[in-house]
Amino acid sequence: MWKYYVLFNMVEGIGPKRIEKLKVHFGSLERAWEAPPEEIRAVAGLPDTVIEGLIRARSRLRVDDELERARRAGARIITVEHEAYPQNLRDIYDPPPVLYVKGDLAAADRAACAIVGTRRASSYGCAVASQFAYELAANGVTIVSGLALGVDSAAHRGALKAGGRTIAVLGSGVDCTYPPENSRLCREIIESGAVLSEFPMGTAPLKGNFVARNRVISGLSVACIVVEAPERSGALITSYFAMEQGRPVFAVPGDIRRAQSRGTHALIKDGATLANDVDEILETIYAQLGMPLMHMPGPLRHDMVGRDPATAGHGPIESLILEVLDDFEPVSRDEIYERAGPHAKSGNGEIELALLNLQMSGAIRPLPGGSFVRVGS
Amino acid sequence: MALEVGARGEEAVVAHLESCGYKVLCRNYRTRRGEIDIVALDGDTLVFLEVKATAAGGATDPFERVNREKRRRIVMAARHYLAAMGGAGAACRFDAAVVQLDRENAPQAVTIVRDSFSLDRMRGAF
Amino acid sequence: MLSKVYSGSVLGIQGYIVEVEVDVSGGLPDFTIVGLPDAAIRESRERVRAAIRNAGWGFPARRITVNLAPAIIRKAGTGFDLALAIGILGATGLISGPVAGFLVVGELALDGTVKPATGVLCIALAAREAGWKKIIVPRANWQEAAAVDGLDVYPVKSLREAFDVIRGGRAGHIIRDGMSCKAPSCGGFPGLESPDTGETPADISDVKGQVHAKRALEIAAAGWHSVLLSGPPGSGKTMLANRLATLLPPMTKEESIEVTAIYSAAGLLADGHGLVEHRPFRSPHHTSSIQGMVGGGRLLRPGEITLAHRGVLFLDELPEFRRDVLEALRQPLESGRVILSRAIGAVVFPARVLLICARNPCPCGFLGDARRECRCSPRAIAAYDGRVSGPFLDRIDLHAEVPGQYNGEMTQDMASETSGKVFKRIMVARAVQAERFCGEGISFNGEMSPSQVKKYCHMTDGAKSLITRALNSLGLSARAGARILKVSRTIADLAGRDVIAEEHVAEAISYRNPQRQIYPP
Repeated sequence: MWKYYVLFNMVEGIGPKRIEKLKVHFGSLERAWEAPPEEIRAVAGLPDTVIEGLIRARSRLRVDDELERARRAGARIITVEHEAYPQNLRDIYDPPPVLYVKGDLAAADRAACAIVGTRRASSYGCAVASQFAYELAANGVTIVSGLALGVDSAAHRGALKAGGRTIAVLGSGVDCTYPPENSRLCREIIESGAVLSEFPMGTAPLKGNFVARNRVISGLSVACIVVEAPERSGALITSYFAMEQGRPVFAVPGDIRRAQSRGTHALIKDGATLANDVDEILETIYAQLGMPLMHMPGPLRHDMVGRDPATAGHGPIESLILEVLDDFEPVSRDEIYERAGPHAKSGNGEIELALLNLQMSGAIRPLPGGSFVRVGS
Repeated sequence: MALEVGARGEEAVVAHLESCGYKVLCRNYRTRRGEIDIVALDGDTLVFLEVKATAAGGATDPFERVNREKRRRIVMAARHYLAAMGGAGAACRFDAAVVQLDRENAPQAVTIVRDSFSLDRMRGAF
Repeated sequence: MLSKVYSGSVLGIQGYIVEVEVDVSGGLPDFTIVGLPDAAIRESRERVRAAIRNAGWGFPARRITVNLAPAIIRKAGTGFDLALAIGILGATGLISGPVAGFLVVGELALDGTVKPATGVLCIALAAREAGWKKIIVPRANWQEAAAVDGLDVYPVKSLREAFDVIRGGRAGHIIRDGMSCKAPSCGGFPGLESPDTGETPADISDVKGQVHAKRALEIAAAGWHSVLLSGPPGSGKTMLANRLATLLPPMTKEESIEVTAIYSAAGLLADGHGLVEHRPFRSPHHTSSIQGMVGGGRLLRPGEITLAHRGVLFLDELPEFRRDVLEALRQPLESGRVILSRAIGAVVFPARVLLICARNPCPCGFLGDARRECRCSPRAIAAYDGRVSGPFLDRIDLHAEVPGQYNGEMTQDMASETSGKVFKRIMVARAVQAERFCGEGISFNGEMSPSQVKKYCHMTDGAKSLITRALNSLGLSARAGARILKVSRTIADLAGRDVIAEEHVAEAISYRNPQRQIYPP
């Protein structure tokens, strides 16, 4: 009777563990829902406010309304009783009983890897997240993240660019996209994966929801990569959940002077694997799934450092700029002028033209502060 | 006593004015709304005089006693005078005379302050 | 007896002639002024009374009535004192000849000396307009009046001197067409040229590196385009802004007179100063009120935007300015003038300024900095961006980044162009524009209307396709597109090219393409 999961999931103060408790106490959720108030009051270990809330909610909530709401928002509801419920998530200690899913979950999502990090990411962090996501997705790995700005967005985009699958887990109802800046990204993810949430329709992006959301990100995945996380950040919380859930944790080292690197460096000190090699991550993922390395779909890419920029189809100044630029470290406009200047016959306008063409073709990206970074892959 | 002193002071002023060529027209011109000590003619100009006596060693400046209210009463009386005499277009002036008294309250010296005030300096008094 | 003297006053920055009629008659002594005088003028009675007495005349104990015409304008200020005193002297028969023929301006001190007045240049301009030939002005203001050709200027330092001039006695000095006609007998007049301050002038080469931002200033100065500099604290935004003035050509005499008239009316001209020769550089504080920026108030004072006319208006810390203040600036920036409505009609202040703004890229100031870490959340950055309205930012042609300079050695070694060298290019571009806009009513590319943009911005096919593609892929508005075209026109002019090519468009776009997020959503 999966509909009762949906109902209980909508009651304030009742989460996966209390649903399980009620199910055990009454024998089934249906009986728990229909039980007379005094029997519910007899359940030990539930605060009075929650019990009264539940009693009131039982007369108010109707499952058909919620199903209709989800249907209109284009979302499907999958409960733990459904076959389609993600296997990885089923294995964790407190799996969310109900998932609202926009897009599709696939069997291939067993091979999923979380990539998380701070919203206030550096260009380096974004580039690394995007690149790891790209390489992993190109090798058939589904990238799971939280649709936040910064590292999360970069990870989703990297996966989309590789034509791979990606899943975004929200801390609000699936009918409200948070943050609003990412609504376009959200639509693209729905087409190449799924946007999902354990929260009922219309739930606002409350702070408390995001911690619970983080356990779903790590729970859906078999490994977790942390790219740039300051101390006490959501990304670190995700990595703690991952460890609890027995998922290997990778941390990307960063600039030791930056606050964004403190969390990841602390993770490395505490035993997380230093992430600098996609092969190593892929090996770990497939080992988690119990598959031999040779079964991996798609070609293996080699490490990301020191690749020659793709210079084909570019003019001499454009090629020169691509050489001067770096995948990670921003290069200032003054430096580009300095290096490319002697080759530009008609002055800096020619360099600007090259920069603009490269930007429009997606080969480079301008950054705040007037510097540029090469777009990897 | 005070009256007597005032009268003696005024006598001294009149004597002084006449010695200066003024022609005294009227003394102690009183109306319901104000009064003028002396009205005199200085050439073509009609002069309205206020007399103030100051005792020997008296600390206060005699002009301080010609306050706004006193001036207002002088102006009212002057207007009355001009109307009564039909001299509305005459050139006029407000002077003040200060009489210095000695220990026996006998007048010692007289000072005339010409054009001691004009109407524009007392806006709002009427 | 009745006498008439002519003086002048200023409404906004427009001088006008005031007829001062003085009637002295019998009756109780009185002194009244009619014709909408303000409190300062009513107080002038005391100054005039004391000045006449202290100059050695008796103040008539008569009924004095003064009428200031035209009666419809509320007169303000202290510049009528001298005319009032002369009028009273005339009405009492002390001046026998005609007082008419002279325009008299000046404030009196109690001892009869003439103190400087405000708006002397504006009044002198109005006087010439109205056909006056002779003007008596305070000695401290003579250079202002002397700037107006065709007027004989009689500088006076006391009521007695003014009296003598009018009576045709000792005439003192006369300055005709800026030249002293009589050898100065007591003390010399300072030269007409303003004194040299002896400081080394600021030069754009003082700023190391920042090639892109400096180029923005060059384009701004050449085509009269507004600039926004974004960069972390200490990156040199203020230094750059201060140097924008060094790239502008000196003012023409007409411009100089326009600017001086504004400062004269505002009472901001230093005593003994003639025409303002350097372009104004105004840098109002971000707490300024609408009135302070745009002008107005009971006395109709010009605001900062008018004080910066023909020069530079620098708004440092742009997001800290009150939103309503910036909105109030929008219209004047567009039209080049401020119009204030008053009961007697509209008062117009000129306001053709070269706008330059500076801001930090984010609340902490280090977004996109190479060394320091930005500690602002994306939301805080968005809120910071929201402080200045989109339409205001849209109207700024050149958005330049001024990154923090860290690789000191490299930038120190880089040869920086001097202001003089850049200035030469600017003058060439300006000459091209002067020829182009002859008869169009504008002088610069930055002032082009949409139809003029269409008429004068010819592009190569490559440039046309580039701008279409760029607008689409960078998500720029149509208004931004028009701004890009104007800037491209100036860049092409600087390069001495008739037709706008791709690299000109690309460079113009580089000033409309600021990145606000490290990873765009």
